[in-house]
Amino acid sequence: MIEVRNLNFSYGRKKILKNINLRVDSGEFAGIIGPNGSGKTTLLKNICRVLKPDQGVVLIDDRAYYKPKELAQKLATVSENGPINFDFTVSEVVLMGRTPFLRRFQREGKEDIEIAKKSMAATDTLQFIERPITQLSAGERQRVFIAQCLAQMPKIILLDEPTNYLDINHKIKIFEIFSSLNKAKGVTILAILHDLNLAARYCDKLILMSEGGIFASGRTEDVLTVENIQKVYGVDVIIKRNETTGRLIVLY
Amino acid sequence: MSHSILITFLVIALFLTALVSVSVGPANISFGEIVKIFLAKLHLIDAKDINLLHENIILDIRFPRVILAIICGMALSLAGVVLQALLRNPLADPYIIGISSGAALGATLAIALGLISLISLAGFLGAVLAMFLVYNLARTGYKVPVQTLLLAGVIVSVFLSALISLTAFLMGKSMYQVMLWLMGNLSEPNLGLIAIAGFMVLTGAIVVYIFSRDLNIISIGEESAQYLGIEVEAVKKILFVVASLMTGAVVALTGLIGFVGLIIPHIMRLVVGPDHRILSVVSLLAGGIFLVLADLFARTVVSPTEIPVGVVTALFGGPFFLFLLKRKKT
Repeated sequence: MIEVRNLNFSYGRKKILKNINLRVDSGEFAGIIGPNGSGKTTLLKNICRVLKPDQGVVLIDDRAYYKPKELAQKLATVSENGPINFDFTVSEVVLMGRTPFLRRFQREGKEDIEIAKKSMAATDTLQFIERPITQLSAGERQRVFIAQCLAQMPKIILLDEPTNYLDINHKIKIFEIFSSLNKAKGVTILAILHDLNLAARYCDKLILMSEGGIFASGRTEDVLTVENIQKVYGVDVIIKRNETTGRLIVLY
Repeated sequence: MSHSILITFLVIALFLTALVSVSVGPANISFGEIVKIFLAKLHLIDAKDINLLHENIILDIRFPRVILAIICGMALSLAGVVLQALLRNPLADPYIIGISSGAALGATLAIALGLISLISLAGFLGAVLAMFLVYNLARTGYKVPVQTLLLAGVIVSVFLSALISLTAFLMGKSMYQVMLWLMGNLSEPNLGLIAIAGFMVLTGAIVVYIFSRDLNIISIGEESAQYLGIEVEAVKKILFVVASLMTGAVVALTGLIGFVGLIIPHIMRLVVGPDHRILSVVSLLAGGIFLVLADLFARTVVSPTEIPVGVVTALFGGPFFLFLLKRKKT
């Protein structure tokens, strides 16, 4: 469970997040949507402790304080990655996902290697296993980092535009993986999504952000309305229901 | 090749290059005689048929010099490994990013103030300050772009070198002495000072090894390292200080020797890959070997005169750096 109470955050003098309150229950698949600059990524970084709130608290399973390693055993994050200059192989990078469970000088064991292989199989990266990460395309590399996140076997996953570089085929495949983790194993997922249709298709709950605050939050059906989209994005859309999936679709 | 075989091979190679280097010079002294001299020194054999002149050359001149070359090569190479991982940039090196100049200035000031016994400490402090200066000059917000870092490093280096020369001239040093200092020189006869530097480098090397897994993860990306539970800011601070400690300790005794930290880690990465748990160990050993050989070359190529060892490493390192820079762009 993720709970954010009265969170405020500024970069220097610029106030980015204003009095955020939100709650994602265990086993929920929640999405954060909102225009560029509305504070989505900053909020996520406050939740995963890369940034420290100026005010307010973030509770993970009702606890505010975790040692970094302890938190990493429970919560994994996937975001965009910068350039990589060192030729680690794909299997080495995925195995790094086991770090939170290893003591300082402990080598990865058989079990860790098994978990890494399964994670690679799930993300369609097993074919690159011995290739240097530097030789992969941006999309392939992103799948490797998703495999690393799966190898962490987290109870909670935070995603910041995880499928940005991926083609539609891999986008759907990756979201199916997260969706099945969510349904089968009760993994809690909180994802920032630009694609409103992807959000509508996978999220039970949406948090719509605007100018550093939460404009609306609740069940996907209640948040994703023509009025909300018009007010926050300034765009007129048509919202319909996909007869096959039963999910909402946004046309623009 | 398995890693333990490679390490064994490097240890033997280090020992042999050291032995050859102790033996070669204007007075050629055989391996057998060298072994005898050491055994006699340790009181394991009787010292009566040993040539006293040779004993002096070996024990007072060549042995300290080779030991210093090993320690210095190890320190610079390992500092290069650490800086490259922390800055996520294979072009980083203590010389190129200005840490060495800071160390040399610190040491110069210690000499000027008559604090010879604190010379390695002064080198360390100078290195930390230069590191801090360059890092903050190069930083824009949360990022440290490669080009800015190299540029800031070079400019700071040039400026600090000018201060070093100025201080040395004010102390009444000759042009030749100043040049030796700016281009590296391993002829420090004081074994006590060498031992202090050796201790600082050993301590640094142990700390680097303790954090070698963290280095792997940080070298891929700082944020993803935080997601994996690494305390990135703390580890970075510790290791920047350790890189400065190792660089400062040796540069204080040798002056500026460039490019060791660039060449050796790069070649070792080609051999063992980027995993710092093995890369740090082999780079340490290979760095020692490389500088012993570079020094051997520097003092024999135009014998009996010697050229500063920094000239030799720069002759190899300069083109190597440009090659890497060019290849990185394409």
